[in-house]
Amino acid sequence: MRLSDLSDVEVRRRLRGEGLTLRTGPFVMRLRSSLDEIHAGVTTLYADYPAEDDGGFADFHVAVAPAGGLRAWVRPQVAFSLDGWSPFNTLPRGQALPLLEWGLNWCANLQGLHFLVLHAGAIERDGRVAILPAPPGSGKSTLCAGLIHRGWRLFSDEMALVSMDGASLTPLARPVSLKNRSIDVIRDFAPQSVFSRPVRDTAKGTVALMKAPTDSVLRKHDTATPAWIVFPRFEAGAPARLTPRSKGRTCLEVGTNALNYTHLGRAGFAALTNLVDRCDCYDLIYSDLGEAEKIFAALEPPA
Amino acid sequence: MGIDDISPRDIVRLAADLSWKRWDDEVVIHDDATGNTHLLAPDAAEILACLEAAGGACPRADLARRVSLRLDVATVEETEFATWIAEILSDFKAMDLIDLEPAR
Repeated sequence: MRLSDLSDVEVRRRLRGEGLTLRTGPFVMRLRSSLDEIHAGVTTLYADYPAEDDGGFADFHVAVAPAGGLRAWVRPQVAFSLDGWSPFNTLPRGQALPLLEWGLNWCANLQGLHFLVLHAGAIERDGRVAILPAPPGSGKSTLCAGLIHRGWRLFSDEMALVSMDGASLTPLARPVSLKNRSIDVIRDFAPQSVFSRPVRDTAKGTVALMKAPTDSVLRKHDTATPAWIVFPRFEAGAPARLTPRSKGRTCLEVGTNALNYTHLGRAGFAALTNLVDRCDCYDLIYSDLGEAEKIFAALEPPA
Repeated sequence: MGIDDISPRDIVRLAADLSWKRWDDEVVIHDDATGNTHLLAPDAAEILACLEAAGGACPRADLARRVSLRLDVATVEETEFATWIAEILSDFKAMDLIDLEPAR
């Protein structure tokens, strides 16, 4: 059963009661919230996700709830919690939905110990995955959001889950977080895309969440083989240019972008080097999504 | 102790528990003890490889001899080679990959 099969009343009942249980990729989350912002966001963004029965197993028990004390009344704020523990500062109520997404990323990282978890986008075509590791502001999410409307499947916008032998990736298709100008860029590039209401004045500027394509959500068990590691960098006005990069430099930088690499120790190093071994590695400079799309369409499988 | 202060008989000791990966002209090592990863030039990596082959510790002069044999640097001027080794060992010390101990 998908979330969209539940009535609006039932979704609200679960959110306010024992929790709404959703499967996202390899993880099951149980979410509780009385906030209208969360209800509206979840029904929009998670409509295609499997809604599990009440009372079943969940990896995360999370909640987004009004903060207590004075903050319940003066400039109301909200708190994200996992098993009753709030790891983050409270945020203005209007940021409840981005806070949920940031919190879920954090949970996935905590629970993803049987993966090498990279801070990277990941997209798939014909069973091969392109991994897009990059720091914030590099245009990674914009590129991801554009390409998944041009024949690529969304694996993840934020976290690439690499098997410990480095030979496969597990999808974690969740809403794509877009910021500032990228929101309009993707609306123009893919007018059919569905967005949450933009939230202004977050720590990252204006944030809007784009619904993951239905096919990407439904193929949650379809793992795929790593084939390319591409470091994207948005450079205003620059023609799209793909240049090879060495495996050693790639290994070092992907390791820097891995969220649990240090924790995994020797096993993490083995996973990382096996992953890089299997991939062709590149730097990409781009300013135009259409040009970037052509470059990605021309990628050849590694020899 | 600085690298310039030790004698050829002083001991260079591997301080790291290393995992290795080689790609053509690059070597990536992981120090399993600290979790740090380093990208090395192949020639520099040979110094660590020689140290590992020596059981993890040996006198500096012995290490230099092993490295020169491994890299076949007979044609390189001796002082130039010694300077190169000293610089690399200094870098490795700063990266906590080796320790230096005075000879007893």
